[in-house]
Amino acid sequence: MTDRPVPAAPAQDPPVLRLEGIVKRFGTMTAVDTVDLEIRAGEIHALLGENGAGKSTLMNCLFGLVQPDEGTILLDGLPVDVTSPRRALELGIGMVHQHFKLVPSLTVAQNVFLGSEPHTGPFVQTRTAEETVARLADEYGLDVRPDEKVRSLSVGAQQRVEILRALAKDVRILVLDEPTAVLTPAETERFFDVVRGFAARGLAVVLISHHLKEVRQVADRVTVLRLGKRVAHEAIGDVTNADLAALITGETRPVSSEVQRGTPGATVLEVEGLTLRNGRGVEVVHDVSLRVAAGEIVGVLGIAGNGQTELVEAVTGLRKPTAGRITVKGVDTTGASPGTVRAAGVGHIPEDRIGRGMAGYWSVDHNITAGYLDTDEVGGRLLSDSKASSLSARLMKEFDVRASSGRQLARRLSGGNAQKMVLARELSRQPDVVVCAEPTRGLDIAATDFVRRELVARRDAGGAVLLVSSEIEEVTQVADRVLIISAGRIVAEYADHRPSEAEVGRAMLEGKS
Amino acid sequence: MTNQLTGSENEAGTPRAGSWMTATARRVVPLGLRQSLIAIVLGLAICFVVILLVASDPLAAFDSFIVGTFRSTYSFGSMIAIATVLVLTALAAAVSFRSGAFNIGTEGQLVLGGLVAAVTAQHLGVTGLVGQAVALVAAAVAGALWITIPAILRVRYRTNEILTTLMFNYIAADLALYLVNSYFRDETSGAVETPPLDQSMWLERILPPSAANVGVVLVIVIVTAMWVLFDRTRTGRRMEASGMQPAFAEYLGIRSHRYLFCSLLGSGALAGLAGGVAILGITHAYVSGFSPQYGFLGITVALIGRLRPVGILLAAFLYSTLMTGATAMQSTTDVPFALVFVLQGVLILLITSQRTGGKA
Repeated sequence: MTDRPVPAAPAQDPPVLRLEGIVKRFGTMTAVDTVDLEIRAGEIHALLGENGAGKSTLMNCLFGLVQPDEGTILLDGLPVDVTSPRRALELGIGMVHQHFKLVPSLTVAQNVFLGSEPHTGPFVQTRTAEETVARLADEYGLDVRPDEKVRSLSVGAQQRVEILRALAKDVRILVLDEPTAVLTPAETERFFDVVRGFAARGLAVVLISHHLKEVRQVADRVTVLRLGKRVAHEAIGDVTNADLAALITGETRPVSSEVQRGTPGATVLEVEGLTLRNGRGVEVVHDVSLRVAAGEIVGVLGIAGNGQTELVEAVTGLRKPTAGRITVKGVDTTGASPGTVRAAGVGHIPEDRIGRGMAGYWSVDHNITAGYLDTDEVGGRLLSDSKASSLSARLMKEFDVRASSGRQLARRLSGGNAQKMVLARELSRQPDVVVCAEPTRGLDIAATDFVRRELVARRDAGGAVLLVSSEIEEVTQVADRVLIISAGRIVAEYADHRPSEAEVGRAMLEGKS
Repeated sequence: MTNQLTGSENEAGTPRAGSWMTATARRVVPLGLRQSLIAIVLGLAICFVVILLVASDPLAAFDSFIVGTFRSTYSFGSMIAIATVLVLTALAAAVSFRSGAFNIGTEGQLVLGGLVAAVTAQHLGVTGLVGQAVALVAAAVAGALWITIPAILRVRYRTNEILTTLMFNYIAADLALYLVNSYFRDETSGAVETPPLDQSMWLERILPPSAANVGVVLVIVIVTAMWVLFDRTRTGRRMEASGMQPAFAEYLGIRSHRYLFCSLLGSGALAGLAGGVAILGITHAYVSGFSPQYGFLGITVALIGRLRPVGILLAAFLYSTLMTGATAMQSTTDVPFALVFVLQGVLILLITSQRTGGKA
């Protein structure tokens, strides 16, 4: 698909920022290939594309983290050289990264002014700093207390601190790199209100995302990158979601092909009256019972933080229940160790992919074969590299894990490939039960599609799949039966039909059907 | 890669304790070969600068420091003798580091292992190979016993093992002094030492008159065994997973605590064995202060060797060359042996800074 013409711009201010013909190469790979971008004051501009499409690299050029090989950055029509993030801030360009860079032991105000504290002589003016933060927070509706330690803040609040840090530097252009990836749906709503407020005050906001729905909700215009090239540049009202999806992936297949419902067999996983406490001793799951049959996907849907994380941990042996019973194929696994639960035939795709699902400093080979250490497929008494790498190569091909080789470190994989690597380890042994939590979080459209297909394939091969997710669309499209979890209880069940998104959305928020 | 701020809960959902006395999960990420080489080159460069500043004849000092070791069979043999002990203490450090704990107490385990070896060899009544073997095993057991308390504290109560093992070094030093003075001292000697061992208990010398001894063979066997353990066994692979990423290991069903406990004991045993080899192979009696900080030097060697047995062998070879060279340099020029400690400090600094400041 070729670059479409920009819709005739209404008589509007000239763009505050123009990128012209930006090229950035890494070795032989061209990450950003002659990209133009135009941002106006007071607009929310979405930058869409799959993982690796060049969104982050382009923005890193703008923020001075990398230097473009070719092209010009024009600010108010004048070419500028953004040599460093410090220079970017001086020019009024701020960026909030996906992974926050905050000091946990310092207060909000201290973090906001880190390195540029207001001072009289050698003394930091703590009060001035806190007052400034409070004023900014109030002005932009960012709810956070300036004297609170960052350590005790939720992820959403930490993000607000990062944004305040940019606002305190009087930025005119604010780049947000996948800001909603770490937020719960409720936080996301509030966050968008804040972003709209920025635009209303004349800030230019660039929103990096791969969530079509969110983009449609807030953005005024959208630029789509694919394989480093700009493939579209439109006003959001002029394109449909299907168009955008096609532009992003370069394919014209529908994103959400309807998944056929399965044909459940005998019950395989059974949870009875499960009660759980979290790490602080607070009871977070109360008397939950559920069953998953062979050939069935049961979706547990709820807003994050309603006990589903603990539920998954209990089922997979990572957390000891205070009451209740868990059985797998009739074998009692209540309070059993993760190893025992695995041996009973449970595969687990964990929510915390990077911290729990893989060892970043291990090779892809090691990560995949870690699930096969109890078999002779990795060698006899002694491990065999050749056996292990041929096993790993086979599974990498089967699960489409794209790495330079099996010896590549897992931490260098993109999000989608990392998740496929986890799937390769967990699903290839054909477990009778698959427990997965937020399996497509942070993944692009193609990888999301791949993961969902694999889960359905496992079901069709007779697996019992417990799909825990906070994505309404995911659960309503893939699951055969939907349970709604709220405040640690199952509050609704949809068994005989696939519920509409509106139906379950209400149940999730109200805590009852 | 991971956002440390969001990781406020770790394994098993227990809240992360803020106390510095409590061991939180430390990821042990071995250096790349390039970083090791950079550290060595920079470390040597700084040594050269120091020599240039303090030596009246820098060229002669450089010469002794770098190639002095290879000038005579005696100094070459001395280098081999030192390397023999260093490889063992470095392996001891590597075993614990790999499974996610930092045994900084190898010096204490080595001292007590040495004393136990000397006393056993003295009073055993069995001589020759069997006697030597029993004495060395006793040394290893002593080292393992000496780390048992810190190991239990770590595994049971998550007490920071860096502190406990470090403190146990001081207890070990004083305990050894007390035991030798009160029970095992050679009354005919003015120094704090045990009576010289019967010659049949000595590890046979291979390059007389230097101290190089058949302990080398034992070390090569152990290096090979460690290589097999780390690279070729399921146990080694699981141990590495536990050390690298405890949450991942737990998820895979690995009983990390068990691996951690056994690794710590194994680490202590290797350090104790190193003490035994030093006594039976080099000094032939327990001599107070027999260790020129083999234990601490082993930590540097382990890090430079990237926690891998073969890397450690090479790093120990390099380090002992410089130690022997420094001895030669001290006797022929006006640059003191303490240059080696400068090198050690610089290496540790370079290695640890690369470790924490690694690319995101």
